[in-house]
Amino acid sequence: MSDLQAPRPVPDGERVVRTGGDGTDGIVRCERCGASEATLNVATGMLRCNFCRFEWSTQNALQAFDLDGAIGDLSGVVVGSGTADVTADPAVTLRCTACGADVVVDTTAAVHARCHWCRNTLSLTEQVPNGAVPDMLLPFSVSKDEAVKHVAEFVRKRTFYAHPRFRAEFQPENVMGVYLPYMVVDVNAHATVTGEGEHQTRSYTVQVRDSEGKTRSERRYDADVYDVRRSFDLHVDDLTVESSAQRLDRDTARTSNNVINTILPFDVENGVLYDPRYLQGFTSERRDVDVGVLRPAVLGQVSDIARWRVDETIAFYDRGVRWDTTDVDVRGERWVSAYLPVWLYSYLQTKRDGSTLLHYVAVNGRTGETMGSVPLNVPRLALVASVVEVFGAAAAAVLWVLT
Amino acid sequence: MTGVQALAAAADVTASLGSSDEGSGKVMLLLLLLAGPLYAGWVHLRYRNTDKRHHHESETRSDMLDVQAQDVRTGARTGLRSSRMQGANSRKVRAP
Ligand SMILES: [Zn+2]
Ligand SMILES: [Zn+2]
Repeated sequence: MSDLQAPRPVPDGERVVRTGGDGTDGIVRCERCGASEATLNVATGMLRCNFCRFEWSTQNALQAFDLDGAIGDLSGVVVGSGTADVTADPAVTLRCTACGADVVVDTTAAVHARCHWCRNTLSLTEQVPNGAVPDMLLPFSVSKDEAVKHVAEFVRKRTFYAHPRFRAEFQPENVMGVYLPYMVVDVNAHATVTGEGEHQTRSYTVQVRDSEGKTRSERRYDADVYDVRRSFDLHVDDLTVESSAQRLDRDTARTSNNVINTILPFDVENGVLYDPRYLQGFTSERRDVDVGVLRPAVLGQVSDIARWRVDETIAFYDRGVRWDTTDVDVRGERWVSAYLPVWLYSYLQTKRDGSTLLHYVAVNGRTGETMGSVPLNVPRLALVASVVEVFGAAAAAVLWVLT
Repeated sequence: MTGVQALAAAADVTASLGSSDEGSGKVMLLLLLLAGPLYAGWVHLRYRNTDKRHHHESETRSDMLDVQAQDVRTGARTGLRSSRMQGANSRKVRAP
């Protein structure tokens, strides 16, 4: 307990774990036939050569970089090199190792490009320090067919009040596989939560006289009051937060990003080394938010977890506890940037006043968990709600007369 | 939107009045009078899911170790009307 009082300096020296490739930009070749194109086989989770069908798997990322050590041993800040601050200039020039041409890749749009001279696929395997390439990636394991089924099923249960235009244009086949950028964070912290709790000592009835002089019985309670304090080590594993400014916008009047947030968590412990060939056939969104910007939100979530866990220890306070302070003292943190797989069905609703609202149905590309937003047929809902209101008011009148 | 607000307000009122016999009668009356907005709010949430989010507090793996409890009895309260402590917030995610 005594070390709690000692001021603990904020760790400033970062240890960066290099997660980049072997240093050869350009063409990644099939080990068997030398072809430069391969794609993810969703059924096996392995990469498959587009020409000879040879399949191979990629190493587990956290093990490969030794980023899965005990959280209790974490001290200071450890980051994967893929979490580097994103830079203003996202363009990177790659030299084609087949023909020698210089090809510029705009990393806001893609992390690979086709050489326009020899048509080999050039990939950004070497991490350039602009944050465009993540430390790891979790390949899709939910196929497009499954995703289409999940989206169709979700919307089928919500058709009666769906906006007629949405209903007419709904085509679940238009679902898109997107790798979205996240930060995966482990935190080694010491938490102290203080407040006040009440423990019931007696429960009894008393006779109360109301304004009309009638007496009736009411229940009363006696309680002991305690100052409550809990202090403990907290190891948080794979806390996952969005790392794109667009996805962090949670204004439900504009977007339905909250439904994409809802399909968390992912089995990020199964993430593999980043390999651009996993992105073939999918789209990806670039990270544009850095560790420093996300840290306050991450610490806020760690506080939430601390209070949630501490609930297990306050059963004695059967009338409840009111927490007044939560202090989280971070001893170590580990940040890894990741591409995580999401199937997205999107629909842009333009309202009569010209404002727009972006609706999504999102399917977790690993677990199949589905959540969405369906635009409403407001006039129809208002009509039915009015009918419900008429019956409700009538029932209320009957109840009033009877009592 | 008003429907969603009606839902939230009704939940609060139900929680504060619901414990006694007399209170539950009032709650019933209130719910019936607000039946239209409550229904609209329920449909709104079912279609738009604006209240949904990832429950990071319970869905993130965590370990709690070396727990130290320091509790001190500071007094007693008698004749309380509610069965729950006033201001209890241990299940609120964004408590202090
Ligand atoms: Zn091959
Ligand atoms: Zn070339």
